[in-house]
Amino acid sequence: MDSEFLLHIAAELNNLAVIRRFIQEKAEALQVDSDTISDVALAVDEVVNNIIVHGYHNQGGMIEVVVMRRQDRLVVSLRDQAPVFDPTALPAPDINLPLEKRPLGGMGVYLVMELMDKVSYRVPDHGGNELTLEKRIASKN
Amino acid sequence: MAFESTLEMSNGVAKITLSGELDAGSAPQFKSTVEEAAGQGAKRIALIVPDLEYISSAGLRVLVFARQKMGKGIDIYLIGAQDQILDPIKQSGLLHSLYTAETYDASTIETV
Repeated sequence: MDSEFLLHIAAELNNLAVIRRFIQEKAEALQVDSDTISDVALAVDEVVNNIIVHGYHNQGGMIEVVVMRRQDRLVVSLRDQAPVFDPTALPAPDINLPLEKRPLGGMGVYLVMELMDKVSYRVPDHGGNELTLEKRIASKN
Repeated sequence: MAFESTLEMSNGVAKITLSGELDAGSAPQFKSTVEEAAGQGAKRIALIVPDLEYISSAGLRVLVFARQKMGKGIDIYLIGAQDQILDPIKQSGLLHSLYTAETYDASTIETV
């Protein structure tokens, strides 16, 4: 049976670094290469930030992070109890605009889509949101 | 590593040295430094980042904020960036709006 690692943590910006460390440590334990870990940690960071700021509106809540390896893929599922919101439905920003014309928002989700091989969203039976990120593992350490 | 952001003005150039991890929790500190630089009349910004270990979109948004607050004529230099910093900047399409260099060359940057 494949290993899974679970972190249940408060939705606070101070915990972003804790969550990145968790991803790094558990992915290393799953023998995932460092480039893949860096991409997944950044993508997770972006999703968690959006959950904290846009989902819970900085008013607290919990986030569940599940890290697992499925054959040649590192898979991370993020669950929360914020109002239902599908980030995969957001339009991509125009990244060719010069800085002075760029909107301040939208870059996080765009980075997630660029960095991951697959991003899927669903509403769990008990409500809230579940976003699953998948990244093909380049090579074993 | 904890994030740190320091400002030094040199011949009209705001030299902002960043170290540690720049995420949504630490981005407000970086933004404050940019606002301080704008308040001191900076004509250019040089981000000295060899010790910056991580940047998320929250840090990238401060770069966009800096250009929008200080105006189109303000050049932003990125000095000594490691791959883990350059990659998200490239992926988000911001690199073409920045100047990059491995080291800070006052004879080039401080010509304002």
